[in-house]
Amino acid sequence: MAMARTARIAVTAVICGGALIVSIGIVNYIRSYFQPPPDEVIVFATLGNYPFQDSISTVWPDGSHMRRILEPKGRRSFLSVSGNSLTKPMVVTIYQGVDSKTKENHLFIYDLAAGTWKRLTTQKGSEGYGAISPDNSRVVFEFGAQTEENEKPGKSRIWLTDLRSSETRQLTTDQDADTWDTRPTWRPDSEEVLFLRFKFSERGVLSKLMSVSTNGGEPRLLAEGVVDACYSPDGKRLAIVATGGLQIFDAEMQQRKLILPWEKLPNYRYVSGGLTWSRDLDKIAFGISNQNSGESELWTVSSDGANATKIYGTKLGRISDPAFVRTAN
Amino acid sequence: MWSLYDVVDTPPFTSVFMMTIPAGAVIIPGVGHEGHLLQTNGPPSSRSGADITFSGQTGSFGFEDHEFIRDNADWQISVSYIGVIPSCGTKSLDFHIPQGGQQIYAVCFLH
Repeated sequence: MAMARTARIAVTAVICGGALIVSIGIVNYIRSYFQPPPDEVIVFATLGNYPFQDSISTVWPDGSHMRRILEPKGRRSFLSVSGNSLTKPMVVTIYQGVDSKTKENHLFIYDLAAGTWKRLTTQKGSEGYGAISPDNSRVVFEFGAQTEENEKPGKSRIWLTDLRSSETRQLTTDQDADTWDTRPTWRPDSEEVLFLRFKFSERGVLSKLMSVSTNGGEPRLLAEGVVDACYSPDGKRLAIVATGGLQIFDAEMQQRKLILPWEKLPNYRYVSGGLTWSRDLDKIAFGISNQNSGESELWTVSSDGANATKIYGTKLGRISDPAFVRTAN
Repeated sequence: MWSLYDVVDTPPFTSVFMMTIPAGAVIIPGVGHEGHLLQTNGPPSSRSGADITFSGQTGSFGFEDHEFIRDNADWQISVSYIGVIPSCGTKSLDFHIPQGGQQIYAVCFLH
């Protein structure tokens, strides 16, 4: 009898406590439901620890309201995303199993609102990361073309597709056969593209930050030893990752300022995965690995190096290709 | 200038970091690698594959999945740039895959 009473009391207590918890939860849910989203959120990829576990998510700049917008399913997952607004088309790289042994990457134009997908190119070769221009008219992407003579794709170069005409052309050439080009990103006026050019050498891997006009022509060397870069919203400066940490780079003056040295984050390791600079908030976002916790973390920092803050972390994979995007037009 | 490479292989299915990613590591696409089984350590998990070798080249995002290799075993992976940089040679690394699989990073140093 005493035990039954204890049990009943315990149950009653749980119900009362549960009701309180439930009511608080409902209030918070209602509050979050009606809280308007900020003008910008960060969209990013999480490259999963398991095969075909790669996903695309959004998070508010304060680290709240993380939501997966593209979930992996079966042997199909999502490796990268590039966009300017959640209401405009985005470029997504899909990783999919073709048969039990073969997997391929393919670039798509994705309309989040309509839920529609359209292949960017059907040319034979190896597709990689793609970036949509700030005016949403063109896409630049990594592509190793496959020729009739050789089944193996060639070195990665930067290609451009005009979404208005569907014309696709090669933007960087094979002039230096020992190099390959990766990680294209746009200047805010949509007229020039940054990219990284890698080269094996006897002493190691050389990396160069280059820029090329959308009209083609000879690429211009901006800086050496850079592994990630993005333009400031006004197009006058760049955020770069080079030896020592995150820097602000004035390409015209050839001046660099180290704003976040990695020695300030001794338990972290940076792995190249893209940078993004907010149009509104003077924040630069990037992914970084916490060696102590085993988490991949998304951080933001002001362009003067202040307020370096982790806003989100996950153990499900490596955060990659963050991008500030508008939530409305 | 970077002299370290990451090769990420993702056998099924659990992820464990085998080693600290070196400072300034860069994910390099197109890295050739191969591996072979050294010895098994017991029965495979229900999700294990049966392959005792793997080979490939990391893709644009710096990894290649090898989904069907035998878990609960000791393996050796070799990363090689012989075709590109003759002086590099081959770097080999022994590693263990527990039941359920493991993700590893392998690093090649230039001589």
